[in-house]
Amino acid sequence: MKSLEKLIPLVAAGVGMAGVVLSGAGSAAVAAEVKSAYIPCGQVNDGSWSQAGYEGMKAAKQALAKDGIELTVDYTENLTPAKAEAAARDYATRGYQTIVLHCGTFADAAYNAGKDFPKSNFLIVVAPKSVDNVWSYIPAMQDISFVSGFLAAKMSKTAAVGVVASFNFSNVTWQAEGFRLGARYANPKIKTYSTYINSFDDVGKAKEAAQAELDSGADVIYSATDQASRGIFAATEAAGALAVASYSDQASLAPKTVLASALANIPLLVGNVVQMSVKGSLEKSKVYAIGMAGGIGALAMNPEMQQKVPADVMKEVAKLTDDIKAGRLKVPALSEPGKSEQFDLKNLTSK
Amino acid sequence: MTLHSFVEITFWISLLAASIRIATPLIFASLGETVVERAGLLNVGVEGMMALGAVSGFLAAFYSANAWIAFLVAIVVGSLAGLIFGLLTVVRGADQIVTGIVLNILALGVASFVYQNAFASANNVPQLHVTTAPLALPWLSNIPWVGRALFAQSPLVYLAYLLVPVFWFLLERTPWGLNTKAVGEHPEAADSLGIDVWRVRLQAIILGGAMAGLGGATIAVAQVGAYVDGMIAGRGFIVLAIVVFGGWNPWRVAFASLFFGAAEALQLRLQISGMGLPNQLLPGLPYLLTIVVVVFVAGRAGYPAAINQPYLRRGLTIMPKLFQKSDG
Amino acid sequence: MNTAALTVGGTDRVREIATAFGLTLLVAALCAVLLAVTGVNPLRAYLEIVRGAFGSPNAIAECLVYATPITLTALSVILCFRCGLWNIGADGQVYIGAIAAVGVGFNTMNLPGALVLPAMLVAGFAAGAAYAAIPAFLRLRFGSSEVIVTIMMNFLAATFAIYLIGGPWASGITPATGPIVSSGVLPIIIPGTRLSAGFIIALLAAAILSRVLSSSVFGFQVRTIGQNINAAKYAGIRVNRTMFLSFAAGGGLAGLAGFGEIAGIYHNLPAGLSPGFGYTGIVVALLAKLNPVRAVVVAFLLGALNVGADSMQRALGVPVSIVAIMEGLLILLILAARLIDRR
Repeated sequence: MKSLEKLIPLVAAGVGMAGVVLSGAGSAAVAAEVKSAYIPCGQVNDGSWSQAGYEGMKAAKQALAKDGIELTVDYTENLTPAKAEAAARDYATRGYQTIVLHCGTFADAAYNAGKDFPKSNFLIVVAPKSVDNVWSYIPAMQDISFVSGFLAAKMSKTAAVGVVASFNFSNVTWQAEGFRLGARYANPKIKTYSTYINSFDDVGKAKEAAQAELDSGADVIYSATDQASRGIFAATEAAGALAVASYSDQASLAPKTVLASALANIPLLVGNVVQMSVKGSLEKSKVYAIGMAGGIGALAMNPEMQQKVPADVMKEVAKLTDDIKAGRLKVPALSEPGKSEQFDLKNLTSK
Repeated sequence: MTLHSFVEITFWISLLAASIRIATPLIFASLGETVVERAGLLNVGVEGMMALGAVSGFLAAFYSANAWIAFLVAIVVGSLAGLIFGLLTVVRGADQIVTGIVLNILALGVASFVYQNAFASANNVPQLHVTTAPLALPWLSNIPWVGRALFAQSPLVYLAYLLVPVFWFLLERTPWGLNTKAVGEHPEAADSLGIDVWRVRLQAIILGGAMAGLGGATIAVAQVGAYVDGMIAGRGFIVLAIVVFGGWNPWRVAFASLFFGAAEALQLRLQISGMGLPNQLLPGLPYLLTIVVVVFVAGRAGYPAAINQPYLRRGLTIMPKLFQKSDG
Repeated sequence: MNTAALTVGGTDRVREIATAFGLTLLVAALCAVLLAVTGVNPLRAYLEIVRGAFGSPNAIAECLVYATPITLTALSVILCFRCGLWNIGADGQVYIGAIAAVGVGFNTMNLPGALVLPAMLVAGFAAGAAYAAIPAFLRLRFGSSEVIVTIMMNFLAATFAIYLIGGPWASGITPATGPIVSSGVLPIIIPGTRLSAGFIIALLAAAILSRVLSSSVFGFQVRTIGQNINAAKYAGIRVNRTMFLSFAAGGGLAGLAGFGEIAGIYHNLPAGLSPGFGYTGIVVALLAKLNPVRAVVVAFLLGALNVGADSMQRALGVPVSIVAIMEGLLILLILAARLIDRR
């Protein structure tokens, strides 16, 4: 027994050293107990973007547990970019192995912290590149927004749909323009409106923006406004119009007006990259930009609304989804508001 | 919508209706702040008080399913916040601007904390429908063209219509109003006439807090039916500007609120007008228009003479006068 | 009936201290209750705050990083306030200064490397000064309320920044502009931390302002106007000109804060640059009793509170809103415990 006891530390040391040697390829070494941190823009219970990322962290934790790795997930909330960097550095100092910055404005924080803390992995959403120990992951939401626009156009009785968006940031504008493009694909003569409210949380303004579009004849509104989507639902419900939510399934919030939710499967994306980070299997310099072809993007229909959607429309939506997944139709990432109006629809399916 | 829309009357009607909707919470908070500033206090904490009104009103509406209980709760919570401001600035003589700024931080934190503790996730909080339905007033809403815009609105809008003359009457025709104005202009003189400066100021700030709370609850309960952190989005600061813009007169303050609401409603409609105006610059339109109007239309700035000076019962004035009327 | 004698001295001193003590206990108790409600040991939390703020060189560096922009905005408020004017527009001036600094920082004019940083600094100051000069001019010429104009201009500056980030200066993917050239980066003064030379600039600015206010003719004019505007007029001081200049200089100081954040921390223009630096500067200025040197100390202490509380939040998993509540209560305590600000 005594000799066995002496053997265990030797074996452990051997395994540890082997692990260190093998980890040279990509990310930092793995251990049985790993600490991870989650740094979002908003709050983990906001029912939207930030909550979706947190769900991903929890999913990673569950999956890793099956592999015998115990992942602790700690988080902080409601940060400004400056504070995000301080937080990231702080977690790294405390030995957190994977640090997830789930906010488009935290890119610099990730790169700067990454330089000074090579032993930790930093995962940053919607960033231009992956460098050393910093990886960018991008939910390519224009795909699912396109499908939403297609559905919206088919459901619109007035041949006019609209989108209310937060800021003219790439990630948001891709969605807004993707929606409008999808609507045009369904009906090239359709009118599409887009309004930017310059806020993630001004529900009052979101409502008035939606109302302005409704006043102009739109009867389906897509939300690209994070938490402020509540305002959109208030407007569409009062007008008897339809809304399409984004990031998470919000049908239960306003069942009489939410037609569907454009899910970015953010939990799936975050969960996957976190698992890869902990296991050390992230590829160097790879940007994980994943759209429907990679499983990111699904349309969650509101069961209460399902009867209102004609069966052949659902068939067309399913076919469109297949086409995008198979790469037969490529949705462009348009970063300029209004570009979707000039985009030649033929370019969608050309090789 | 197109350029052609500007010629259609329906466009202007919907613009009017939207302007009134946007203006309503601003009117409530501005009427309150008008009284507060007339009494000599500068409450920069309006934003926080509106947030507290929004969260408490929403929670009350959620659990009681009754809008009027919700507004009552919001008013009470706002009054309490006002009282705290009053105790710190009037009784303890703390600097009003700093107190207001810090109260904003505190109030926003409290609102967030309370909401987070009430609901484990925002995904579990369905939208409310408590008073979002407009109430068309008989006969009045049938007036051609403007009838529906003016008189087929939420009941809160009608309350706002009523409160404007009420506040005017309060300030101009009641003893309390006259005392309040005296206290804001010459507290020493008022004191020597037997007016309790502290008590009048505390009453004013409690009223101001109540109105701010009502304003916040209007958005959360009557207009949207949800609470979200940060939903006040700077309206409290717009209120400060509106009060000055309206010359501390309830009628003009209400008009200033409407003007701002109209600029905001216009900006949103211009974005979808297809006129090719930059979507990202149009959000700045209301602020720019306000500056232009102020420069060419509004008169001299004239805060009540004793604003932002703690009255310490021996005429000890500490802070330099705010915005001195210099003719040099 | 009005009996509270508010002179400082004698038995009233005792009353002051007793009140301060009572209020401290009240705030500590309230915070303790809050913390306990979220399942955290209050004493451990307080310890973590201290540790988070002072426990390592990196922590202290973070306190100074926080203190840098708010020192500058506090100086801006101090200068204006000494002249009898409130600068509520500091936030907008920070944004404009940052925008100007970034604009120059792209170096499309191809200045030689050594000139880029000074050019950015001058641009930041000048832009902030110009932005403040507008409301000052409108006030002096048309009598337009500078309260309205500055509040509106705050919103305008933020909107303009968002426009630039999403439009002409977009970097392509992140909600920030592209980077400035490397010669436009302020050097880090404590390696391994984020503390840049921007802090030195803030210190210098405080020293210069202190000297100007106490020893220069301009400073004398400013103070006189602030204390008694009529006396200043009779003394032949050109009141309008001095007020205009001090307001513009105040704007310049706030613009410097924007420059410092760009050149020292971000190296581009990010969305959400200022989480209210202008308003925090007002708090610092008044807690420091309008003294520029004391403002540096107060800014540091406020930074310590912020950094410590954030660290505690991360270490103990306490909700972020608790941090805001604790900070708010603490500062209110300080305000309530003082009776008179004698200056």
